[in-house]
Amino acid sequence: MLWKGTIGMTQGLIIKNLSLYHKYEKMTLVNNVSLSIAPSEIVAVVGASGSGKSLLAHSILHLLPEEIEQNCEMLWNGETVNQHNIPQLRGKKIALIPQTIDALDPFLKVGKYLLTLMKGKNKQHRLHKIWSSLGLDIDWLAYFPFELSGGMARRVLIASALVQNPNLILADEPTPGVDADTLSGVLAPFNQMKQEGKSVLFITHDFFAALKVADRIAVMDNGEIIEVSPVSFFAGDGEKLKHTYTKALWQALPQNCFVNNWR
Amino acid sequence: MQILSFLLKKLTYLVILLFVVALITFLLVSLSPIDPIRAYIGADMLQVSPEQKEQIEIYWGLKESKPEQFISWITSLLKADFGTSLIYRAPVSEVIADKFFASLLLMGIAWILSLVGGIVLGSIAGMRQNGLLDRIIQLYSYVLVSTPGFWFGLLLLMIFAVGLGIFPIGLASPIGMLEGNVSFLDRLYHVILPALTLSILGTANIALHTREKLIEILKSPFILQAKAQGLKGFSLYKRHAFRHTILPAISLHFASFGELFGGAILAEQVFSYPGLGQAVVDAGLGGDVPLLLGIVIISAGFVFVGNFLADVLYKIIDPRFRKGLMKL
Ligand SMILES: Nc1ncnc2c1ncn2[C@@H]1O[C@H](COP(=O)(O)OP(=O)(O)OP(=O)(O)O)[C@@H](O)[C@H]1O
Ligand SMILES: [Mg+2]
Repeated sequence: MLWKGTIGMTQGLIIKNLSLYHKYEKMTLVNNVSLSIAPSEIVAVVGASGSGKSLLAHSILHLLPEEIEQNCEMLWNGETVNQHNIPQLRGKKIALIPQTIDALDPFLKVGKYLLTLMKGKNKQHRLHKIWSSLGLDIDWLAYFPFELSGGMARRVLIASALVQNPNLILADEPTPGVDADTLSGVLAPFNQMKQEGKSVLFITHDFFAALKVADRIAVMDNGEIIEVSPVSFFAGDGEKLKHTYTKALWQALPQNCFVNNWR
Repeated sequence: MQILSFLLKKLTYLVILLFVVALITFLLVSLSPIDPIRAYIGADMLQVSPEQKEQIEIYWGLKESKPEQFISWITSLLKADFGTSLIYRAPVSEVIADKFFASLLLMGIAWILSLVGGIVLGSIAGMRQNGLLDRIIQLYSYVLVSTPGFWFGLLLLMIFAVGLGIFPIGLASPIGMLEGNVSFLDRLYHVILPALTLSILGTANIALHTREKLIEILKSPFILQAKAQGLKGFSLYKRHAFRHTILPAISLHFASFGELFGGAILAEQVFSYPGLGQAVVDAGLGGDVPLLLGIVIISAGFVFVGNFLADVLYKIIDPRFRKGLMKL
């Protein structure tokens, strides 16, 4: 049923019936997840800790450890994605913003690290543009990862995806701990992507950020996507929302609490 | 400032180490049944009267108490006076310097070959974990790690020197040639087989260590991220795994100067290679106490230098250490 909206779509990413099974623990981690991301679209994935969001991102790049068995059908711009052709897509077409900052190589200065990820001419210039658009100081390019603050490191990770100039970014929790004021700045590159006809899978705990940046929101719970709704459905009392879990999420937002109490 | 205090700490450590080593060797030697006068005079001992013997004992300070002897020995050590070797009839420092050069050539070549070989083999095995190449390299390494050095040396000697006649059977230079006429190539030619023995055995250890380290590194989040960026195979290894992998390998290799030295002693025996290892055996068998003590002190210093370099290297390659060391 979730599938309906994607019929006829040839561009972008389509995931059909993704299931992840842990071979040794004999346990299903992700069950029958289907999702699509069109060009110029930002799809947010929200859900509690352990609901399977990171697994979803890693399975798109076929990067799961061998003890996890992956079953799904995946299409990128109409072509089947599998273990054999995914290496050509990684980084160049689909880039990942990892959830943890230890994804930075501790031996490499961040500037050098980012430059080696880039292709084509004018690398230095392009890097500086992306770097300053994220509110980072040019001097920090000479820093090693251990010299960065948590927030700085997080933005370096965002930069590492942007410098590769991909068509789809899988952003796994790019904004933790960012306050409401600076949020717009950090979200700007994603909106920019959208304007350039590219897409973003925006994984987050921050329901507020999701509503702010996304076109559609997928709600994940216990390894399943229980609902995918356009942001416009998140309004009023949440009467357009299908699932009680989603309604609860929506009503728990601070601004809605007030509404509920008042009624 | 931090460098200074680091060096100071290491220096203090060295002084304590050398003192303890000197004390222990002194104790062992004084407990041993070696009679230094008998060892010095040798077969002519019969012609020495008890009075003359006593005179020598007084002259050499053998009548003093053990602590007094120890202190006077330590004092001359501090003046870089190691005494006179009984079997070589030359100052101990000269004998050691001479023998040390031959050993250094042997150990240096073996050290570098085993490091490079070990890293290459270990890296291939680690990148191909559980593949055919990995299994072959592991088998090779485990067999060699448990192979006795002297036996392996004899084997090489039998095959390459006795059987095929490619390499000389022993010694460090052609027989009958004057010291001054021995060219560097001659020396190299003679050192190859013992060096090969040492390095092939050393390779196995480094290979296993490198493999294990590489497999551990390949599980790091930054390697997963590199894969997400499309890197794989050799470029992945070169950019993100190489430095992380060789650092502990080199460090381990420096720290195992002791084993290198021990291996060299055996190899020098098998190949009759006149280095420090052979000198130590001669000194022990011939009751040459000054030379024995001198070599023990020098080799303790040698092993310390290895450990020191291992430590420093970590701090130079790893930016976390480097910055920590430089700052303030
Ligand atoms: N390699 C693995 N082996 C076994 N279980 C795993 C593995 N990776 C993830 N899991 C399990 O799968 C579930 C989903 O994990 P996942 O990392 O996708 O959660 P998440 O939604 O990203 O959570 P968070 O918001 O905290 O990052 C968790 O219960 C986790 O324990
Ligand atoms: Mg996660």
